[in-house]
Amino acid sequence: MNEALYQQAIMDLAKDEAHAGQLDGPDATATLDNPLCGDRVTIDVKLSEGKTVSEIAHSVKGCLLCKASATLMSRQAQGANRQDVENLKMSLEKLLSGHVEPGGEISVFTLVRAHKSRHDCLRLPIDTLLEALKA
Amino acid sequence: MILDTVSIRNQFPIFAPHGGEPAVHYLDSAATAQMPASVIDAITRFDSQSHANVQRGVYRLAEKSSEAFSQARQTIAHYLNATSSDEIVFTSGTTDSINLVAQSLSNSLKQGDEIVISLAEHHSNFVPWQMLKEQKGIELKFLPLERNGRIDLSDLAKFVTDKCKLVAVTHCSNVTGAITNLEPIVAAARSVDAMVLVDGAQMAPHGQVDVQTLGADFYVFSGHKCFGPTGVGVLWGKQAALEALPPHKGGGGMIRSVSVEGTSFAAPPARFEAGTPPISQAIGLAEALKWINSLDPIALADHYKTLLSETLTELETISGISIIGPLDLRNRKPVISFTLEGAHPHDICQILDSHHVATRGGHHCAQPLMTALGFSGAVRASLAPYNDRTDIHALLNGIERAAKVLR
Repeated sequence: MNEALYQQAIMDLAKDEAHAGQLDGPDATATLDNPLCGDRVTIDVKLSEGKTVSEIAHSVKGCLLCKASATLMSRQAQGANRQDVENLKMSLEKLLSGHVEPGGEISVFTLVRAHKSRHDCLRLPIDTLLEALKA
Repeated sequence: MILDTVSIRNQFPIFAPHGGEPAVHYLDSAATAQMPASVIDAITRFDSQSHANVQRGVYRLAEKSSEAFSQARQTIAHYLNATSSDEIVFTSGTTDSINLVAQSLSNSLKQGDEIVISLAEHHSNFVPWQMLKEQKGIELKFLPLERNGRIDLSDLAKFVTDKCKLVAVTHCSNVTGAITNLEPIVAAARSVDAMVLVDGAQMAPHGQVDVQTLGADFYVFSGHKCFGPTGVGVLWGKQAALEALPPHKGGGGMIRSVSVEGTSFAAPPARFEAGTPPISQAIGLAEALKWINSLDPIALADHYKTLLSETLTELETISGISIIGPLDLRNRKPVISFTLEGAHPHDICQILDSHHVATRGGHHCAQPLMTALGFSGAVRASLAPYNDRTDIHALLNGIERAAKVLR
């Protein structure tokens, strides 16, 4: 049942507003759209020593999966550098492709694997963060 | 007469039981309509008995293929009440047809010329004109919308001025189902010698269109929304309008003669059909239009009216539902878009899928319309002759469930 996608753990992540919003004077910011549905994610970050994420905020106009992904990513991005975020993206891709069971918090999204049309909902926040860190 | 939806459904192999899976409540025909067995059989028959290129070979197989292709063109001309099958150009779809007109027109446009479209357009009747604006420095004007999503025609003269060269509008919105009142648009365009292109992608699937009565210069639609295959569409153009256009693509099949000094081009429609056309798809489309014509149009209209009325009434009883589009049943096709407060359209569609209800969620390739009406996305249920009350009940139950799960 597709309803299982909306298990409590994902709903809790989607409704968690700890990192929702915008930062005053971010060091970097990026916005990406999902052209399929028009969803939009904006990520603001503050960086310590120009490299490590010290603060992060996300603004998501999107579905529950996108919001849940933004929350999880924001938690894991605290203290991360660009390589750590690339590794996080890699873990997500491994989970979605089904080649590896990554374990950890990200495995909450395992059921999304069967729904290819929703993979980009999970990717959008992390791709936006990578875009911000590229700037 | 009452529409026999059971008998209609039985004509569609997609609704037959497959491996114990419950049949889908298919409410996404505005995106792609399903194909009846007669269409699938016509394609299979052609591909297994007459498959060859057209208008090239003299052998019997090529003669059969060319004849079938020519018959298909005539069937389409008849469906549109075109004066000649030479007015029918095969394309890959509505998008391709509109791009063809935009690119062919480009050389005759100059800076300061104006093209008028509306905010109700699908991106396929929006982006090609924006691209033309960038290429040629023309102006693009947008007819606004009424609050119910209908195109606001109250101030046409302000938009369609003597600088206007073309008005390009949808015949029926793919989001709201609203049918455009084309008469004043055509009259306004005529008064300034502008041409009119009508996007019929959402209208042609609902029955024959009379292009002579409409009075436009171009009419375009897609095969796959008309119960036919993907990969084929139609550009109808008035003979004089097509003859005035240069080709947009070069290649085989569209020439009169080619030499190192230069090329002279064939007359329409061949001028616009460079390369091998979508032959079996055109034959499938012709069969699909025959299938539409086999339905009783009055019974179909009554059926849609009943289902639409019931759906709109029931939807309004669900807390948090907003319907995008006109609530009255006049001049409206059975396309119903809505939002549910506190739930994202894709999440709703996902829950609906778990109830075997296929709907579309998102901006429906109509972001300017969504923005103008204050929405970023919506769920859309679109009906076809194979839909009945059971599909509507499944939809409504699914929405109730989505409201519980998602909010």
